Amino acid sequence: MARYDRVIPPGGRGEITLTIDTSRVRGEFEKKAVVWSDDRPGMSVELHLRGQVKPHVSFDPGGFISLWGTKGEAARGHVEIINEHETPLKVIGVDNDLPDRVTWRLEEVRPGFVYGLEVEDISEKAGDYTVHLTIRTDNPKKPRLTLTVRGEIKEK
Amino acid sequence: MKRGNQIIAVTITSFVLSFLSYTASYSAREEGPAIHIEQTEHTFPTIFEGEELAHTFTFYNRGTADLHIRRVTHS
Repeated sequence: MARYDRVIPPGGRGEITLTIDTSRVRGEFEKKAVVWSDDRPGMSVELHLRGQVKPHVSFDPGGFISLWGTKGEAARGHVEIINEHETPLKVIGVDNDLPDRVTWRLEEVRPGFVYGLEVEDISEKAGDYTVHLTIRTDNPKKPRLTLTVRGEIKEK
Repeated sequence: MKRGNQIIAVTITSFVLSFLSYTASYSAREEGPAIHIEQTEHTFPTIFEGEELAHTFTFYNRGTADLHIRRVTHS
């Protein structure tokens, strides 16, 4: 978004304020703005903004687990939940929207900063499914994280 | 004045008027607004997701007429 002074007298000074909503930005970014004026030789001037946006909490290697296997053979997957802040993070709980398909186990790897989350298939029937595990935290800016688990379980 | 001299006088007058007109228009192009922005780049410190970032660029009109900012596009 851009706010700017529209008419500046000779010898005058104006301002252009650019704002960026970082809720949908991750990692390094570069934004460009072009100022169009009635100064013919310099009718367009480019402005550049750069920066880096870190997540509050991240999954390593990512927010997705794939479980492939045969019924009765427990397929497993694992992610780490990483607190990117310098103050400790507490995981309050984990909600599972398909408890008859998967179970989970949480362990503290580095208390307050790194948690290990292991997910295991417990399906009693073959088939494909998608489970969402919602991790609840005490960080008010990131009270919930969602881990997606995709399962493909075949008959023996 | 003879007819030949008249033609020459008209030609010279026409040439002088064209030259004056060109000079006037060239001068006019040097007049007008002139935008000047000292800093066109800015790097923010690293921040966490969800925070709003804002930066204000300052610019000046170093010309002789009002400067109109028509629009600011961004990507």
